[in-house]
Amino acid sequence: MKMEALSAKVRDLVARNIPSVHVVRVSSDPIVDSTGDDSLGIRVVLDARPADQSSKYATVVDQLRTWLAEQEDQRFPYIDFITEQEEQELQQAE
Amino acid sequence: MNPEHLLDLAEQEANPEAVGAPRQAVLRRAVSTGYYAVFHRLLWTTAESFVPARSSLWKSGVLFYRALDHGRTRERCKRLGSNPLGREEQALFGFASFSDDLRLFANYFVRLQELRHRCDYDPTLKISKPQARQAVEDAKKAVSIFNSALPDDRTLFISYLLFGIRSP
Repeated sequence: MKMEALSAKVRDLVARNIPSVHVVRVSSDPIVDSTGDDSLGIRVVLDARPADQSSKYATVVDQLRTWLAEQEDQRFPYIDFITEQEEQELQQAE
Repeated sequence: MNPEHLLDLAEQEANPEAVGAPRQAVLRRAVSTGYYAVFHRLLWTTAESFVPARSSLWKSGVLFYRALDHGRTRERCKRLGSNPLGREEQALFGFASFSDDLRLFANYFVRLQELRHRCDYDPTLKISKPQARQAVEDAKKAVSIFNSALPDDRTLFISYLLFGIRSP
């Protein structure tokens, strides 16, 4: 699994499921989760975070898992949705 | 522990009234409380699914309430949220995947537990207020879709969380 292909798929799924937001950047890395399982750490930077979109974010995860299964990749994708502004504020946080 | 009360508490923690940027400790607590609301929803449903609500059986109810643990539940939710299910699970259940809602629930559970773990144990983690609010929103959605799942599907889902599939 190439990380570029994964990032492109995430972009596509976000655009299809949450058309009201613009994807600024996607980064993907192999990680090990807190249970020790090989997993995927994905950060999706958005231009805005509209309210009441929980099920749409969850649908992106669900559809990405299905796509990963088609690629015979069983790793769980942990997607972190964040806005550019939040990223900047976190850099200044306590 | 009432899951709805935990969700209310998580909401309060994610929306502190104090002026200025909330402390990281407060936002982390919000995520943790949201996760525990989902976990306790599972525990209640487990007890209610298998023990009739009669006072003489309350000890059995307590044992079922305590039957799920965090790690195994998460590992099995990873499997139940998969579409399609693994070969063994498909053979047992006789279908290729759980309903959309139960799959979403399973994936919510995995994601919330991982975030809760990082909030509780990763001292380098920084979380924004909107991220904490999103996690609480996710917890509320998870509880809501679990509550509205078909009872028979939910019982099958919980049975797998309890027992998994034993090897011969």
